[in-house]
Amino acid sequence: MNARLAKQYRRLLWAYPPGERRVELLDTLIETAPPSRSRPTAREAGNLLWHGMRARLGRPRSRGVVVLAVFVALACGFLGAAGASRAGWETAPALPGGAESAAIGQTVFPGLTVWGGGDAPKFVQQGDGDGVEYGPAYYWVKHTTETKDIETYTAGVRERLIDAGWRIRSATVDPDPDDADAVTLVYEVAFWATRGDLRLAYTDHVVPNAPSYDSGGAAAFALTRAEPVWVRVATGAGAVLGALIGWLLTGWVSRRTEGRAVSGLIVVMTIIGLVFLLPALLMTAGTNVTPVAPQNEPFWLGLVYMPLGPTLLFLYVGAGSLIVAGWPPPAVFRRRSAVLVAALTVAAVAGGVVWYRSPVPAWAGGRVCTPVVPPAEPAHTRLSRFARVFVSQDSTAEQLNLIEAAIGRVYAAGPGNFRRDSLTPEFSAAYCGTAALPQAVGRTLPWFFNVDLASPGAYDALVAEVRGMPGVVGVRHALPYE
Amino acid sequence: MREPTFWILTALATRPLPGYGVIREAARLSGGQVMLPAGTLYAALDRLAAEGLVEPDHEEQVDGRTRRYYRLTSDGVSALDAETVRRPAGALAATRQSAARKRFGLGPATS
Repeated sequence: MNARLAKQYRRLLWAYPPGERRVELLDTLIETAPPSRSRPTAREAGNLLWHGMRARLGRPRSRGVVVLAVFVALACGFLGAAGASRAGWETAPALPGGAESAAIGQTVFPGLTVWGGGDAPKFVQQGDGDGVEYGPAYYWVKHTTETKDIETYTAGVRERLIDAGWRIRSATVDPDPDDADAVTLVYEVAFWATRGDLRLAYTDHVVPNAPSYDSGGAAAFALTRAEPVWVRVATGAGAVLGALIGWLLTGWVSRRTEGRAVSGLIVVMTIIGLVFLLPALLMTAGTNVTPVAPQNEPFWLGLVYMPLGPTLLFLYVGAGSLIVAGWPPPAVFRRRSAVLVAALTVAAVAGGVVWYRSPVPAWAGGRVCTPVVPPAEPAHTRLSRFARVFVSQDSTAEQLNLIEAAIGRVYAAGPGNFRRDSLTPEFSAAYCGTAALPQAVGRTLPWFFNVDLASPGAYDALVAEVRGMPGVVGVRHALPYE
Repeated sequence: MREPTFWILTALATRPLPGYGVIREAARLSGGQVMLPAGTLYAALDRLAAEGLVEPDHEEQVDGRTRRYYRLTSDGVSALDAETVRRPAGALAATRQSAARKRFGLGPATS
């Protein structure tokens, strides 16, 4: 007997579920192998892998189990790819900061004061709150006479980028020609370019008849990371691994429940889970390609929102099936698992009651705070995309309007949302976090505007825009109040 | 009945055989036309066992490996008998059609 051939056969037989069948097959393979054979043929290997994976599903007469396993594997493959892609992105490098960031800004806008820049979180919620996109760092300049001539200035930007080693990836176009606003007459052009793993989406828009206190548009660009190669590799590996796990778990459940009444229920529940999940996954896998920012959303974008329900349903069905299939547990675990399940149940119920009953988290313990005006900066502000502009209660209505307009002038910041009701939990949290804010003190505290920043670098521009304005008490990074 | 199934039942018709025995017997009986891959054989055996046409007979230990023999059940014998009636009937029908075609002087089909 050829020991090497036997070893290779044994390896191929891992495709089969553990058990006597592997030994039996090895005997048959070795007995029928011609003496000249030193390694399995490709056909033999393919035959063993396919029938081995099929044998893992059990139920030799059923074709339905194969169809079901294929769909479960597809769904799990997609989830695996999404998970691997998300995890892989954590290793992506930071966006340029410091001198490198300044150099890029000066390449595009030489001689002008460039706002924004710096790093950004890997993924951020889109402005409309509908989805997730790759975290951009926005750079922009306030309009000058040159930048308002958008065609000429943009042509110059393209030349400067080419000279600096960038590759222009699109023509200069109006990104939204159907959305021309007849009232404000917004003029806009855009293109995108890449250099190494950086992607730059440029846009220049002008609002010609904007009032003096409003923004007249800006020349700007968003810098994002192109998907690193290893993220693609990880995504592919995640897809294969997910599909394999889905297939093997389907097989395990199928074999464990063969001949048991519960298997019909599991099949029905799995089909329901798939019917909801697969169409949702197909919809989320579509990419959003626009002239300026091709694929600025991860392919698993929708998993976070629309199909979260179907995904959870699918996972619950999967977990339920595994528990049912694995029940009863082997005797060694039985006593221990009963204690564990009981303890977890008690803990969950107790935790739920505490959480439900308590308006402030239990760990806050009714602490009363002495607020500082304006509040201190939170601990981690480097990638913060939320700020508050604190305004004195003595401000006049006109001053508040001007402050609001100033916030609106910051290109990469959302509008300011005014908060003046000191009795709201949000007001209390802005000054005291989880501790309690005494009502009498709250009434005297400065009001504030909540400001969403499109990228963390916009904070300095916000500070510069409102600093020294009558009524402004201070600007602080903050944690968004959920 | 699929081709591998037919040859497995045929090979097992006279005596119980282990897996490699079925493969060799099927090859011999078919004049070398049928070479059952091992994976296909055991998938078919599993299916036939689930359908009650084949069942394990006895086991032998060879070089520390378990060698399991399989035999036809009475249902398996009936299924094979039914197939042996069906196959010649199909061949006969085809032969008649072919002869009729020649008799009417039809040439090769053209499209």
